[in-house]
Amino acid sequence: MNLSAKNVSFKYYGKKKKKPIFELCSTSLDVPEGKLTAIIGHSGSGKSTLLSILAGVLRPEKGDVTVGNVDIYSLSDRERSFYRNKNIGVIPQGNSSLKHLTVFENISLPYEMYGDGVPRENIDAILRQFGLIELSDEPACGLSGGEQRRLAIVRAIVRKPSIILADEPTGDLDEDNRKNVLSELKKMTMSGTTVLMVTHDKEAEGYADQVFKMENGVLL
Amino acid sequence: MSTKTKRFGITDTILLVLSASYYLLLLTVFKPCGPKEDGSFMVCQWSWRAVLVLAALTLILSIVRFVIAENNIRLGLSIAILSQSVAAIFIPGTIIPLCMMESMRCHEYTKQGNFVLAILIAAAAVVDIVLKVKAKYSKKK
Amino acid sequence: MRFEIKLAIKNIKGHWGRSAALFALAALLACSIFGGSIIIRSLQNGLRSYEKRLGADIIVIPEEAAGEGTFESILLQGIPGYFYMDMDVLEAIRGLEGVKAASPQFYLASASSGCCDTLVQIIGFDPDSDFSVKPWILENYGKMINDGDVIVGSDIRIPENKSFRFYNVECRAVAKLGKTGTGLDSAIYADMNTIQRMMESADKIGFDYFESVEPENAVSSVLIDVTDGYEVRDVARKINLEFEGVRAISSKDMVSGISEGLSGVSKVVGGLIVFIWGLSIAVLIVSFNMIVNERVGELALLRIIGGTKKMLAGVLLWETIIISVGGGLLGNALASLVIISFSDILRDALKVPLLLTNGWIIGIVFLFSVLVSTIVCVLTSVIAANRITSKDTALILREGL
Repeated sequence: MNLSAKNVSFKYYGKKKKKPIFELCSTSLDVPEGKLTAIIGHSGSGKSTLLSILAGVLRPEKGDVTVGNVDIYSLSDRERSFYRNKNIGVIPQGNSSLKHLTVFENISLPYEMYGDGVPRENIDAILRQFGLIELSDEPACGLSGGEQRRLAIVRAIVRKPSIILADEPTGDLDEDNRKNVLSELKKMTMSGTTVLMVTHDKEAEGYADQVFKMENGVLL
Repeated sequence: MSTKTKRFGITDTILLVLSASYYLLLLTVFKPCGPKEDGSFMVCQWSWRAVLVLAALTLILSIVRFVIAENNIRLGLSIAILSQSVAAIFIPGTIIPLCMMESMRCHEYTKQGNFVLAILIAAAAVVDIVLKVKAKYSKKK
Repeated sequence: MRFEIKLAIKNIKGHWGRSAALFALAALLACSIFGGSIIIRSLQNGLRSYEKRLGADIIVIPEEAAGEGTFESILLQGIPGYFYMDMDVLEAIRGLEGVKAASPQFYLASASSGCCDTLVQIIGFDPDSDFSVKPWILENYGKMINDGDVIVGSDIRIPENKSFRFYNVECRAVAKLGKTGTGLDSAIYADMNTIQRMMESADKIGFDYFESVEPENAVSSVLIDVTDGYEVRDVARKINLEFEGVRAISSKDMVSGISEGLSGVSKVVGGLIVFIWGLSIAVLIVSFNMIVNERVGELALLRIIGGTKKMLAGVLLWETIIISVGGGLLGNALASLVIISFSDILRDALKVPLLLTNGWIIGIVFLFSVLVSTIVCVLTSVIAANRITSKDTALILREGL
């Protein structure tokens, strides 16, 4: 499933809403199916905003976003959320988990949300692969930064979505785990998954099939 | 196999506070009338004394629960506290009679105060027992 | 079970400190409205039963009994007392214009007796002329009591052998009256002959209750039923003018005096409820806002894994409903336990008639107050939930979770 954005733009306003504090200029992007695409850029360059628009959680002021053949912003909130649940895995920045739930419960959330059965064995296998199986029944609040990161990655890829959008997927990870995550993302593209990651990580560029640079809201 | 649990849990604290209040209130606010002019006591005195002994035992058991970490013993102590509170509910007026006028202190204060506090202690003990049994069961699983 | 409910339960369990604080607030909201309403209703109920039990338009008592408040203490607090005036007053009152019926009552405080270990108020009435006690006796016993029979107030327990002994006079308890929430609940009623025997016996064994009045000519009060068409207050005024040493009080004045006192109590209770509600609602609004701010990341996370805005609001709503219903039920259960158990102490402290309202009214008020407190909790949480669910998830993602 490919992902494309056509002339999308967005402005963030300050509290007084007079002058925009950030502007994502009219941006077009094609992320081909089964490829790993990277967007690199400094903090505040607009990478995460673009990622949010592509994930369907931030409606652009102008332009269209097409996932597969679906214009996702033509869908209702319910339809778009359902579509995201089934087809798009998002790895957000920072520590993202429901801290009071166990690791296993966190991973099960995307299944439980729409009443799908939770495949215990599949989840255990992927937890084992990311070194989290021993922590399966532990509450997420007890995990280290690196473990939290891996948990976010596992939750995003567990349903084998067609598209993965990753915001700094290797942040907080040690050398071994960084390599493990990047190779896992790369491996997923081999089976047809489309991956778009935004990163600072120079090493990550080496795994990408195509690399874009972003500066001050403009994709170069 | 012995299982140790946290000693200062919320139900432990509630049970201790309630047991201490139970004993102290029975000694003060919920005390029935004192001796008559001739020095003899009214019938309610015996009922109050029986309840006071149970309240003292309940307080002792609640303190012991704080000292002991062994889960099974603590569970047993909670069951003992529950049994004592249930017995205490039925002592004034049912097992041991009170004075015959319901507007008297033993009816309005001793019996009702004993009822309210014994019910609260019994309820706290039930919650504690359920939580402990549940924890034990889930650990076994 | 729906995902929203399942997650709401996990969230409540996972943040037990936060949940317990909200639970306590919900309990406070519900129990204040429940407790306040039940107390106010019970006071009104007590006043109604007091008015009904008085059963006369005017009550005439010796002046000093009215001045010292002895009569009021007997009626409201059940403190046994006695006072007497000459029987001549009765006959004179019967001859007055506007007096349809007049009946005497005799008050005697028992000495410590086998039954009660304490003083008991004994009230004697004349079955031939009585119109005040008889209806209650007929309602509870079905027929009139005989010589030597007594009927007891609801607070007095009848012994197994049904026998009482006052001043060496053996009496048989035949029935118990219904509860009125007044001092009359701890009184014993006997007919004229029985009480005369007790009074004579008391006199013989050295109890000098009657002072200057001869026991056989003594009466404590005269209850008057006013003829239709006459103003009760006018008749009372006339008695007060014509007879020295007595005081005629209209029962309406007695009730309205208490009623004024009650409105003060009701105002205090009402003020307390308003204060508790104001404070609780303010705390709830601040708490929900703080909680929602703290949970921005958590909700954004649910959104990116496919949660709809409706689903997010649903999780917050269910958390509030579970906490407020649970808190309300527990708060009201505790309030019921305390109010029902200690209503007599409250009656004694307030010195007003207090008769617990019906069980089914308590049940309705119980559920109603849980409902109202739940609605208030839900409304305050909706304000906060709306703020967060309308906030763009992307803003949160941009700021980092």
